[in-house]
Amino acid sequence: MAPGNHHHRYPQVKSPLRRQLHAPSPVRKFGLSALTKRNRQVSGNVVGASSLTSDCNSSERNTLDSGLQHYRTDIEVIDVDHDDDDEVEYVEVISDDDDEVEIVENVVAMQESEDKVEIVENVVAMEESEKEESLDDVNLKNGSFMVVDDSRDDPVTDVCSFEAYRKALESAENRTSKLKARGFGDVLRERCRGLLRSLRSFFRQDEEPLVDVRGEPFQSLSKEDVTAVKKAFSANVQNILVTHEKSNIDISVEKLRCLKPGQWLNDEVINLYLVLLKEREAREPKKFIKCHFFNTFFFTKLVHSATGYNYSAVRRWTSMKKLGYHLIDCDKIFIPIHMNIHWTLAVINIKERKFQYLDSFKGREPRILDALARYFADEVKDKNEVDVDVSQWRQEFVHDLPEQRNGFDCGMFMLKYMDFYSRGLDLCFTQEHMPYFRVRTAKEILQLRAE
Amino acid sequence: MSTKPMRESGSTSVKREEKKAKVESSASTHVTLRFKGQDEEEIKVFRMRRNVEMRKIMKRYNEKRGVKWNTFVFLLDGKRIRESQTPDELELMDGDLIDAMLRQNGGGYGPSSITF
Repeated sequence: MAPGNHHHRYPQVKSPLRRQLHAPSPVRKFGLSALTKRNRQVSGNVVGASSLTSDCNSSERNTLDSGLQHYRTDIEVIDVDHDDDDEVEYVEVISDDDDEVEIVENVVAMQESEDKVEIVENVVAMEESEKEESLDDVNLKNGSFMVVDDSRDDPVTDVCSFEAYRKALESAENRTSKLKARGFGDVLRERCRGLLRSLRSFFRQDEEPLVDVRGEPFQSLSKEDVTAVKKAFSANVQNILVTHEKSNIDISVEKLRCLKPGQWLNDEVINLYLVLLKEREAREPKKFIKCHFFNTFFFTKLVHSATGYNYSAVRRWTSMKKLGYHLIDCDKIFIPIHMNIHWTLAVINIKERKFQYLDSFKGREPRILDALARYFADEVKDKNEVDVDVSQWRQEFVHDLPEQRNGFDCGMFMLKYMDFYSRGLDLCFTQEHMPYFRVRTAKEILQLRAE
Repeated sequence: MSTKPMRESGSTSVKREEKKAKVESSASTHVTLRFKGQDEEEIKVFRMRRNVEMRKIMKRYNEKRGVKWNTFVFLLDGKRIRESQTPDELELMDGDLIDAMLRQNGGGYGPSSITF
């Protein structure tokens, strides 16, 4: 979870050359320097503009199981055209009829969520300041850093290996002892301070961006944002709040309300959020790992037929034309799993060659991972004509993850597992963050933009 | 008859149209679509005009299944279909399969409904 055991961000003035400065900094498994992975992993812009143009371009769809070829006369063909009301306007039937009850609930729930948001904001603010203090894993980006050598009036020496640094250290130490011998204590101290100042400023440059990334998933919401969400929740149930053209998802007030405290998330909100996560990655490919997010219907379609597992049922969902990339080009593939009234997450972790399962109730379903292993092998064979031996891959039931403590937040947990993983972060959140996450997700949906 | 990609040269598409016209007299104005419900094995076949909104055929499907309007989400190769779209807009071809998926909600714990 949170890093930070040693606290030597600014070395002591007294013995500057013997401080615990690790240079070049080794890549740590977690913590801030883990973020460097991001720079190396993402190659780029394959996703680019075409990632979401999933036009139903039928030129690549050959209906192998073509209906006409095997047209049987005993199938009943229902002719939609035979009623005379082509000309008539169609009025959509809205089946929701408990408006009145809803409105009363609103007032109470709004109060609660307002309090919660405020509390969470405070917690978040506190956490952020804590985080700043523990930012000692300064990332020295490939280990090169500048040493200002005052005595020679040269501005910089580029030290790009431990050896070089050690030598610089030694020569500085030599000068130190000589100076001491001549009684130049003050001069010595000045020089040390100068050295420190230059190094400190270098550290600062590196720190700022790291602070942001770590705190971004917890950034507090502005008053305007919170007000906008409240307003959206309390508007007329049938109003369409936002429309995402490319994915054909409309979010009505009714649908958005699933983000209110205590409500179960629905497929519109979840699927739209996943689309926004993908768009976020396309905007800043260097900042996020390369992911594919399946929608909530994918896994159901894959395994829910008479024959059980059925690859051909989803074969056409992932064509190059639809996605702009192949699944094998990704680092992680996220598959939301819907199980009756529970949401969980499965991950095909291509980079680490493993299949992961995340359940906020810590359940285990090996059959899900088996099906996905089979799917991945079939998919890669179908699209790339490559054989992948998935039997060599591991199955991991992630146990070190935040758990839900109620009966309604599993959808939000699932979304946040994906959000944090796609940032390359650990799952450093808890049940306590859920109210904040709900409001934040509502805000991001209203703005059609995930940050 | 094997299906060909949509983007083809003018002469080929004319030929195809003619050929189809022999099979079905109104092939160019209508399209035959198959609907597969998530919760059943049967495939229902419908025919409709190409320039009419999908809303109509979705309604018919719901009626056939005996369910209310909002029960299903309709997908074409994984992507949602809007009621306001037409077969022409979606570039649907005869025999295309549309998935009728049940809406999904969730937040708590329940027995697994996934059958393998």
